Amino acid sequence: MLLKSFTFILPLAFFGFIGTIAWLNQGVKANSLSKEEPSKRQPSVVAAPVDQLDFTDYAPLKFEEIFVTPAGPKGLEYTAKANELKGKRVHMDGFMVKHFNDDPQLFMFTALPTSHNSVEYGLADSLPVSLVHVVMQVRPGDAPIWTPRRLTIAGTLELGSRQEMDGRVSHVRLLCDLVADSKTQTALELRKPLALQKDRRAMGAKTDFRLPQTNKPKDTSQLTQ
Amino acid sequence: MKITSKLPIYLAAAGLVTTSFAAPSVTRLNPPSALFTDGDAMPPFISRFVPGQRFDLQATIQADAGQTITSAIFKVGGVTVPGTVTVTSIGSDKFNVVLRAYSNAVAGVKTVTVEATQSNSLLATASGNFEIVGITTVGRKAKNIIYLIGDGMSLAHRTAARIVTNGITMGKANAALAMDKLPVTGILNTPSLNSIITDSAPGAACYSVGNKSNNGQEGVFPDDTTDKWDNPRVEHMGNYLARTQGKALGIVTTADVEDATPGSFSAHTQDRGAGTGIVDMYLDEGVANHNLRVLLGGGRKWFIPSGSAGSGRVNSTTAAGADAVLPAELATGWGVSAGALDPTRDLIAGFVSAGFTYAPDSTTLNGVSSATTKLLGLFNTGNMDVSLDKIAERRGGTSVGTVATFPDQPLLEEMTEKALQVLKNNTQGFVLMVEAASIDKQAHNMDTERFVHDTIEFDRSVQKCIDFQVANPDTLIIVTADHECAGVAIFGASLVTNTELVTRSTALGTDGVAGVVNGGTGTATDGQKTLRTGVAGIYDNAAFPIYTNNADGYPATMDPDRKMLIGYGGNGDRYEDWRQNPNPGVNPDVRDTAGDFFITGQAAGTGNSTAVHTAADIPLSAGGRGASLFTGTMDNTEVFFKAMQVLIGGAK
Repeated sequence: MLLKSFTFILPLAFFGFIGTIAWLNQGVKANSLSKEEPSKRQPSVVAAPVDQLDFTDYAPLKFEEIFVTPAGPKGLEYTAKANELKGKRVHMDGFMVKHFNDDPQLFMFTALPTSHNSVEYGLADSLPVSLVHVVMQVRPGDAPIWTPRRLTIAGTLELGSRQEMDGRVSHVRLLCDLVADSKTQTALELRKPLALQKDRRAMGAKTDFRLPQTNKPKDTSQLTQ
Repeated sequence: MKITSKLPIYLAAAGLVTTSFAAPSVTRLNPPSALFTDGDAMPPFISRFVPGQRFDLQATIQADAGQTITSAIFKVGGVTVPGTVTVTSIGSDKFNVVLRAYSNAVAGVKTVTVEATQSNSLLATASGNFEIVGITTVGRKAKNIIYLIGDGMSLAHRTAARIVTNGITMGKANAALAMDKLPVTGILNTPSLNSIITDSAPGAACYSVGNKSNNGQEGVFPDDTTDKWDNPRVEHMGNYLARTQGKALGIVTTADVEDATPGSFSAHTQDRGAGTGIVDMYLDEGVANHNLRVLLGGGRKWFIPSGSAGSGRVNSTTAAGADAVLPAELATGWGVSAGALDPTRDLIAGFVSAGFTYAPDSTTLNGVSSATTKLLGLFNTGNMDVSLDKIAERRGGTSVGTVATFPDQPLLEEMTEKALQVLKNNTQGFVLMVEAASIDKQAHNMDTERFVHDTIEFDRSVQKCIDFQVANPDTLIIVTADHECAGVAIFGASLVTNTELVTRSTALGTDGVAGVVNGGTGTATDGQKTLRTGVAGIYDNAAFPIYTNNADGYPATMDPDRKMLIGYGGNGDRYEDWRQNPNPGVNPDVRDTAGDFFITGQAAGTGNSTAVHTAADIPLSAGGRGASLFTGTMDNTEVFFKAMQVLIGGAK
């Protein structure tokens, strides 16, 4: 009986610990993401039902408007519109890529429903070049969980190379302010407690909370022996 | 054998309680052998090499606490192997000892022994074995070898392609696939060194190095270090034949060229995902040492300097996608570049400086002159789009996937033809690997139409190689896979027209929101009636599905009336408790009396495939010079030795 109690308590203690670390990091990350006054970031509810979000402060941006299409012979090129919106508020409609990232701040976002078998393929993938990394503010003990819904994400557009924790180099990031169901435009909460994400644990997502000011990729050498 | 194998365990246990018996021990000895692991000196021999093929001798030594390993020697057949043995502490009183680039010219089974000396003069020693497989001079040699690998392609994938592209009338195929026409058929077992289920890395590397490795590893044996680049190496076929015969190497794939199968023909790493380093190795070692002359596929992101939009180059030697920096002793031992952590490297410029023509699209590829001897083609930042989507775009249809971004990607058959044109210019012959990567990738997704379409694309590439072989008879063609993917099973054909399928699959339930299939009418069996038993024609009702081809050689549509239906066994939903059933004649529904052992597929879970590789044997078809050797059922590593016999010794 005592043993059973411990087996119940230990996981809770573990997630409490993780949550504490996340909470300690939260302030730093929240600050790093905040380029506007918090009061200005709240959704307007004027002329809209109480539970609907208003994205009028955010410029619409489509995935196909990020890079010049078709691509040139070497790298990619941001469009004039993307460069113009760099560092500004935008909103985009798309779908969460069905994947897990060890970084609980992140999920990948594409124009159409996409899955990425990260366990099998790692970084050799078929993801679209217009892939957007949505960066969410850390909430203690939580991480994004996949949803099939079409989403509207609003936030600050960030362009430029950044090494993510899984080794992937992101080029387009959306520092997320708001998430809504595209169909209803009502707010959605994508983050769920890690303790309730059996799939995430089962596939081995490590849920490493990023240290402030570092984008150092995770050392995966221990995983492949 | 079993008693012998447990002796070290008993000794180790004794050591735990009686420190006076403490002694350093050998915990790993490479090349891998059943003699070292199980005390079994009898065949099958795990590690085998052709005469003169280079490989590393490596051991892991567990020293006593506080002691160090000061030196080590390797002996083969009781004779000390000359050369430098590097001893490196890897923590926890463990030491890695390695002697690089050993080779043996004399056929036979050899005993390899490591003797490591501890700082207090105690000795750790252990033995294993390996076989040098003799080459017989007989008949005529093949000048060229073409490996065509349909990734994940087993019998059902081939059958499906035959039904779609050729059709069946009154029980007989209207025509054979190109690969069906190859005269010799073999069956391959595919386990890797550490599992009955291989992944594409050891599943493909075995054809290039002749040996097993752990899943995820390319051209190496496993060790106990975390370094992705220091593992004991085995020489690739391309490297061996470049230095001994002056042959050229070509690698063609529809995947990212960093992916497991292409990487397994030139790279040496324990991490198939270390993309930055793997592509660097194509230039630093492939071009320099393996005579790599053709590299075609996707994966442009690894070739673009970090900081440029679209680059995927990683600024790390340890993360996923890592860059390669080799230990100095390895670089010296093998005579190769040590590499560098250089995320800003412009690898396309590097290839061009090495004399390569660069083709970023199909138009440029088609324009490559007949005099070209070195060709790099990178047609997508990641994996290339699949043939169904490339063909749809060529026919003026909707651009899906990444086709809009890369609208001018070649088909595999076009890349194959161009690779043959370029490689033929090497007078000493060539080794060409052609991979249809997305047979596997689409089977993982259980995307029937796309994996079948890519199998057809693959078969059209086989035909290009057969055409080449007819004009160049000293060419050996081997068509096979690396493993089966998804447990593909053709179980029947649709009972209804495509129009009816569209109607049924898009109909909404009475709530006007949820689909009928999802129970929108409130009747849970609606989906069962409309799209399962209502559509699946089995046995006589399957009849013969009819597909037609357009002038481009590809199916007019993958959604004809009464289309072929495919199920997936790796691993579908079912009722299962995994135990022997007590009574025969009872199906899974009935066995689930408690209603509590429904299995939703072992591979389910975000980030994992919905269908996975299976352990099923795979078919091999061979044609051309020496093809007769490839008949029968064999281990996948045997293919390497038979091919080397034909290339080095010849065949009747």
